[in-house]
Amino acid sequence: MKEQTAQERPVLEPRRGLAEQIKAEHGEDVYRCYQCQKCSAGCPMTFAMDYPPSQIMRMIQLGQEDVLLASKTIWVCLTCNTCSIRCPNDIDIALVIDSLRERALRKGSPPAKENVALFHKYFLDNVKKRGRTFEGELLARYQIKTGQALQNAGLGLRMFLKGRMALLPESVANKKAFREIYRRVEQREGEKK
Amino acid sequence: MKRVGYYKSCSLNASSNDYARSLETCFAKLGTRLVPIDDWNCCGASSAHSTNELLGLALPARNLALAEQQGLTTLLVPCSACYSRMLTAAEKIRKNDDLAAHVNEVIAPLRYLGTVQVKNILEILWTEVGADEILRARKHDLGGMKVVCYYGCYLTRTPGVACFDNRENPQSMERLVRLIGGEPLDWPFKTDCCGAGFSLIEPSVTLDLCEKMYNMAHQLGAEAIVATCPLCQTNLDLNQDKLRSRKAVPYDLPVFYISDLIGLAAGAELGNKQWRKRFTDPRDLLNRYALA
Repeated sequence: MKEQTAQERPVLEPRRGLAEQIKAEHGEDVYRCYQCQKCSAGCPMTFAMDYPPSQIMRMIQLGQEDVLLASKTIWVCLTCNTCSIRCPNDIDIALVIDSLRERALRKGSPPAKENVALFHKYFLDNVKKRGRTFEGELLARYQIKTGQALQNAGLGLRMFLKGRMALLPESVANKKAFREIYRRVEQREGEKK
Repeated sequence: MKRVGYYKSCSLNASSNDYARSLETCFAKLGTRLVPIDDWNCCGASSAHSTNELLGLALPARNLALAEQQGLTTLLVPCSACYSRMLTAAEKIRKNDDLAAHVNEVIAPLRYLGTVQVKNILEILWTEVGADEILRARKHDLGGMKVVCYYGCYLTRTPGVACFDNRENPQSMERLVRLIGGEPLDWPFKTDCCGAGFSLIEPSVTLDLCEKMYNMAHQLGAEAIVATCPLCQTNLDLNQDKLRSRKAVPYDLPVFYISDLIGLAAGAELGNKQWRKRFTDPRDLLNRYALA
């Protein structure tokens, strides 16, 4: 993280409401955070984040939704749960970060790490189609779209040569019934907008 | 024969089909039958919970409801990412009636009542199979093979659920290795993240996380890494292959599943069919210990 000077640092206008909404929707009370910073100390991904988890918690308390949804942090977090199990106030911090990612997608806020959002989208599309992932198709679709096809072309081939790539997809018995799960979730999402 | 439910999952069905073979062979030797959930679906890990909490609960709940219908009360979930999501869904639904109703509306006409116990491979080996049975089945000894046990993120870190072992310094895998005559080494990275979740998205980040682990394992004199998760195993195996061509350090640590080692000790014949699927070939090491 680059240290910001006082002039560069954005002035935060405290707003209420975001922490309350997260509590209502996901059950986690971010107001319990007292900035011990244990989460940030243990996080393996801070080197790639713009705000470490403890600052994310503080910004939620101060209602800085725009900054949060535009942050790299919410897309860089690997949900390894180290923060969640170490939090002395028992906040499931990784779940709170999940909830911000969910919020960013719902509000159409452009993701700071486009590839991560794309991967999740393709993965879930893949599951929606048949109820089970078809790794070959997912790999190909993602790599062609992100232009990593050449850079990573070897991976699929090496897995294939090791006999670790299925050539044909598998499905659940009733795909139509399975897709009802997605439809109902999407319907509930629509109601929240 | 004892029956245990089995969530086979996407990776064991394709990219880690060697883990499925390892588990099925190992449990046959231990007198336990793994009963797959009929018509299982992908649990959505990690993209579902990462982008939509309800979908992240509903996809596992469908599997739990199917397992319950089949009368499976104990469910082995071998992949750690799946384990964590299935356990989270099972516990949240069990503890919160409103949430249970909400999730059940989404998966209707299926309905999950909350009777399935979700367990990982180490728990199953300790509580369903047991040390006596592992010792009884033991035909070979690992002969003091020095290994580091790697638990990764999701085996011990499911928030809000009591953990089967110590979260920060678990020991259940080391104790299993000792049972079959191996020598587990104490090392600091057993629950660190190997970055498997980013192996496609940010391969360089993942490579850095792995390299740190290999170097420590080498420094301590480990001869192999033992894992339980198909994503961790593939990631730790594959990235050594990537580093080998670039670095002077010999990145040549075979990455075993715990079921490979317990199976070998119990006389399972895994053979070339198994080992040629690995990116770091374990056959030299196994030959040295007369286990191949």
